[in-house]
Amino acid sequence: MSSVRTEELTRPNRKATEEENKFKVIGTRPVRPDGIDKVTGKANFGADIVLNGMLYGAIHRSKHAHALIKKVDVSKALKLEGVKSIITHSDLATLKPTDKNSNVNFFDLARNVLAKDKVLYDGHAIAAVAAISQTIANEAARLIEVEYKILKPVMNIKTAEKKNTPIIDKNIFTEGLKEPAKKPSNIAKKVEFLLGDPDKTFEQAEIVVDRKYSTQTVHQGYIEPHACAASYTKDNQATIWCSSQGAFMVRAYTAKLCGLETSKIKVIPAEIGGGFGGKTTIYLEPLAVKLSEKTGRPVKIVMNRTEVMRATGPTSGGTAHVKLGADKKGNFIAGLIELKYEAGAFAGSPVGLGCMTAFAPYNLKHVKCTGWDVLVNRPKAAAYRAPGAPVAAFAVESAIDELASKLQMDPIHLRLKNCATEGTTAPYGVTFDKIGHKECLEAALNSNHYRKKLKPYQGRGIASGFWFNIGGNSSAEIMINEDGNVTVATGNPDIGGSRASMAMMAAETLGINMENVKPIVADTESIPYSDLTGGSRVTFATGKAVIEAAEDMITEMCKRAAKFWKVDPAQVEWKNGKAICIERTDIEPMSMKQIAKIAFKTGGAISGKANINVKKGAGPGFGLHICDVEVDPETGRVTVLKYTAIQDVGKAIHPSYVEGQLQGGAAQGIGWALNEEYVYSKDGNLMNTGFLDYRIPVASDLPMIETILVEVPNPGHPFGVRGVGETPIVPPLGAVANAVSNAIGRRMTDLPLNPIKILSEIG
Amino acid sequence: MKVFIPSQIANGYTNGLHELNAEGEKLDQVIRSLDDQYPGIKNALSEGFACALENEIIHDWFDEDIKDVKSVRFIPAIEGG
Repeated sequence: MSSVRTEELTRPNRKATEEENKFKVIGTRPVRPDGIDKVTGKANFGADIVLNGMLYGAIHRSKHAHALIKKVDVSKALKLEGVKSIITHSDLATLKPTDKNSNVNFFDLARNVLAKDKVLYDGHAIAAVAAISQTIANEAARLIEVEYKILKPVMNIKTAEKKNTPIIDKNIFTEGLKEPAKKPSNIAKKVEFLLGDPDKTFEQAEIVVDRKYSTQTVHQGYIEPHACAASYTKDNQATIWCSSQGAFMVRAYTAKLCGLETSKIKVIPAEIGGGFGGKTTIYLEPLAVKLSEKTGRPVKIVMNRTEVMRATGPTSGGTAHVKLGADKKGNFIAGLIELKYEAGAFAGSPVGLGCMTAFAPYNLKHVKCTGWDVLVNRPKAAAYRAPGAPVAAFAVESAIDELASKLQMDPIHLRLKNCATEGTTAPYGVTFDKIGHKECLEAALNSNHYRKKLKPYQGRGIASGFWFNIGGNSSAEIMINEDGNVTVATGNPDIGGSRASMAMMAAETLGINMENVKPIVADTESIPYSDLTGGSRVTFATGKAVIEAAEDMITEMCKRAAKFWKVDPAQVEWKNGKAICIERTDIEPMSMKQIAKIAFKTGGAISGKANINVKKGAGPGFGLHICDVEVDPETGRVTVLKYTAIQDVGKAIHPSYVEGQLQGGAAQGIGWALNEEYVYSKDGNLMNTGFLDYRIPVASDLPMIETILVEVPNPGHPFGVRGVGETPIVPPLGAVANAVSNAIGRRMTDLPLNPIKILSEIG
Repeated sequence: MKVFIPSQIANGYTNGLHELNAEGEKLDQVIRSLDDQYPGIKNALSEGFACALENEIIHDWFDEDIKDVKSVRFIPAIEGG
């Protein structure tokens, strides 16, 4: 059964659906457990950590985009009073190109956090300083002298592909070619996904759209800069306080780069002021650990905004060539896409994921998706919500819009005719279970927004989006305190309201109020391993762990009640937050408060746990966005008039946070489409390193982002949860571009759609 | 049992062949069968590839029961943001 919410919620005297009545806590909107600390400024973020005897770190960064390091002279810096230590790449563990696993290439990671013998982008870290004050550390970093041999920078894909162009990394030989590459190249990898026989089938297409698209490098734009503090003790143990998307990820990566055993490092997660994928890797932590080891004192390093922009994130700019064929009735016949993504200075753009997601919302029997991973002298690409998908979706959704125009069909009807449903095989080979793309399209068609009339120079665009959603390793522990209240611990930093959703799922399972559950994010020594917070996996997978931990504790509580009542445990059941003896009406049910009171008499403290790897059941997410814009023909300025984000969310645990995810994804995607881009000088220096010049949308730039939550429960989760955080950033690029194209009557293919580009199109 | 592998693995280990045949009721049996035919492919697939079985993408694949599965497809592991 599916249901559509939010718009319905605003109706007076609305009756709750049967589906909603199933739950007491799930689907309600309680105040978030971490809310008061955050709005009153009491929450501790990475930069807030203060330790006894703490030193301050600063980093010397490259002013060149591509250069050999001939010499690093730290003598002047070391002479500055108050400077305690300086490290370079040679202070890190010695790693080889083969030091990698399925998640990360440690050789590259080490060369990214401190350049080895070559700087590969403007802002590349070369040396790190620890001093008694931030001012002295900054001055010492400035006094470090680096002698370079400057090389010609390779700033874009076109240059990277040229013959005789400078090679960024001589260890890179193109993978995935039919013949093994014999020479180093800036093309790191080719990937290809094939379904059916698209080349041959294209001959049957009666209408074909064939067009090229391009996008620019953009940053995740998290408000909190990277920050960490580390303390290394004489027994070779390190403690790190930092904001990240995964304390266990920080521990593993830092251990490898510092040459330590993983268990020698403890990571204490701070609050996180936005990550969006950009904090799924490390930059500062090994530097702080090594500086602390050398000085014997704790060291804190905090990036400023310029450093964040120059040396962290971003996500890939790229090009897309789409060919989409259909018959005259609008049935898609075949699709081709060739994607080229900037990887930054190290291999590893999300181009493979772009290929896999490009046509996933549609039922296409004949598809070929080819991707190229291209090195350029820009910062190493990091994950950004739904990595790789937005650029591919921008291209495909633009092509579909153009096809709808050629067919004189409504763009939603064209998508409905071709949308993926249960049983559709996606181009990457998975056959979908129950999914909600069709329901999203129908919700859009029935929305008030879609019926609203437009005026001249106004345009409406729609676009669909898809994300796989994943499970993975999650751990949860739950304990009943002496007063009968409950604490739930997980190993996942809360980047999107997960404390609330974990508490709500625990409360629902236990049959108690959410106010009686306190959720915490544990450090790496207080909870077993958990994969990082990303991939829209936490509410789904960690939520499953919480449910299982709660069920584990229910089993124990029933045993304790049975012991107290001197009955067989098989006679005790858990119902509405109480243990009930099912065969004895003379025994009063026992609440959690009462069970807490008998805990010590019956065997000691009571808890439950679950350490699981959720391999199956992460239901894919689909969304559809509707965007109305107005273009000023004199200035080229685009104003977003109205925006609606619709998504199949499975089951919204806390609808406000789910709506927030949709609104945030839409806002970030609108910025990507209209304003945001890295602007480099001809020498490869980043010119817009702050939020004044790198324009992310602010509240005054946007209308209220309306949301419609479509709930097609995921059969793979006890409460029907699907991940929701990635999908909402997939459609906006296409939705905005289609809206602008429809407003001005010209197909806009090059993001961002700034006034200059628009004016040049409309003359 | 049909096994589909990505182009970068095919070009490195199977002379460009994307569609392979292997026997087994468990995934690890199929992988061993492939490795016998194409030495080294097991380790290559173990690094950074997930396994698509019908309607599921399995990371950390091991000995999944595949006797009712029509095909096995290796795809790049899904990362997230």
